[in-house]
Amino acid sequence: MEVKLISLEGIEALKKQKRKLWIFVILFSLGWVVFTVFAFVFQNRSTQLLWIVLGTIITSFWLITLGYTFTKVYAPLRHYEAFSIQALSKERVINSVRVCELHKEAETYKGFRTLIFDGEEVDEANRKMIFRYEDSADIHLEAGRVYEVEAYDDVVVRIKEIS
Amino acid sequence: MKIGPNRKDIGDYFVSYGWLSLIFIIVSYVAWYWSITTIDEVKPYEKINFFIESYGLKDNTLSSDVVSRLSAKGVVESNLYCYSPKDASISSYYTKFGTESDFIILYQSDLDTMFQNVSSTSVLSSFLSFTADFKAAAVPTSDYQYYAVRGQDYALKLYDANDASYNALHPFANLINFTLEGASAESSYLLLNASTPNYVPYQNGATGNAVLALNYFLGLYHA
Repeated sequence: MEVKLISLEGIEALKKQKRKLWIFVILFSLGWVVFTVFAFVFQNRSTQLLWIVLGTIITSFWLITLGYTFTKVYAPLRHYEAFSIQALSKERVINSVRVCELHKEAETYKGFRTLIFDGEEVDEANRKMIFRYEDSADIHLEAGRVYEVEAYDDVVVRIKEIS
Repeated sequence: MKIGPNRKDIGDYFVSYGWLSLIFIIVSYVAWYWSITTIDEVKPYEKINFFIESYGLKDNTLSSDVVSRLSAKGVVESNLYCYSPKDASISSYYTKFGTESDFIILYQSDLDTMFQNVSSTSVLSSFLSFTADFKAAAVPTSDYQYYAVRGQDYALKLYDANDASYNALHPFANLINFTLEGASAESSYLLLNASTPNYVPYQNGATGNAVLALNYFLGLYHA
């Protein structure tokens, strides 16, 4: 099993996701604009309370969704893309690593969420190391197994099972 | 990278940015409330207002009667702003409410003061005169007396301090307390505020509702 967590294709995929996100933001905002125009065209004195309540709910939902999108989706995407580009352009370390412990709690690292595992570098007298990888990456690590790990700044770029 | 929303991220968002969400909700409410209430605000051409300088009003339904009478003409609100001549703030009340009222009811002493220097002030242009055409349209009978300035009738007498028969014929005292025990009695007059948009065709404006309202008001208090 060999998994490339950071690659040129991966960066392309991140760019596509960013594009999709912008399309979502634009369409969602257009929906809000249509609703607002509709509300102002059809509101009158007898229905003004209804439109104030509806408008408040929908505008709050729109703003909160945009807030969530930019802080929890767009920002990590952008940070991971920037990190990926940097990782591929720099020299990376390749080691044989025995996985000691897998941590379940995700941790934010340089703006994107990562999972952590403790490992020992087999070729370096079992030196203890900490590695991270993007938390939604599709890899299944097992404690005790040895992997060939290519990493940049402790973040796994490629991992291959050895034994 | 997975970008779909998940419960944990949504929960984290509200923990980290709950304050921002609260601001969003408050800003949304203020923006919608302000914009819709501003659009739906009652416009001057939808109101008939009375500014009354007197010692009080008796129980009455004049406001609602005017609205129901003229609702088909677009009137949705009528207000009676009544302040005592002894109130120290009456000038500021007049500035706030009188200037936007269609009808202004003042005592003769105030008219005398107001019109004493008509040549050097623009006070005359603030009021419409009771021209023959206007009287024919708005004043139902010809038994009213007027306060004249430069030969033109500028105010219609509602109460005569010295003529009980005039007051019996025009019982505005059923609505307004013109006198107060201990205070000297004074005649009271009604002026037409030229700055409201409700005197078409006697003034540039939007409606002729003040003309209709005056006709109704005078008819209501005529023996």
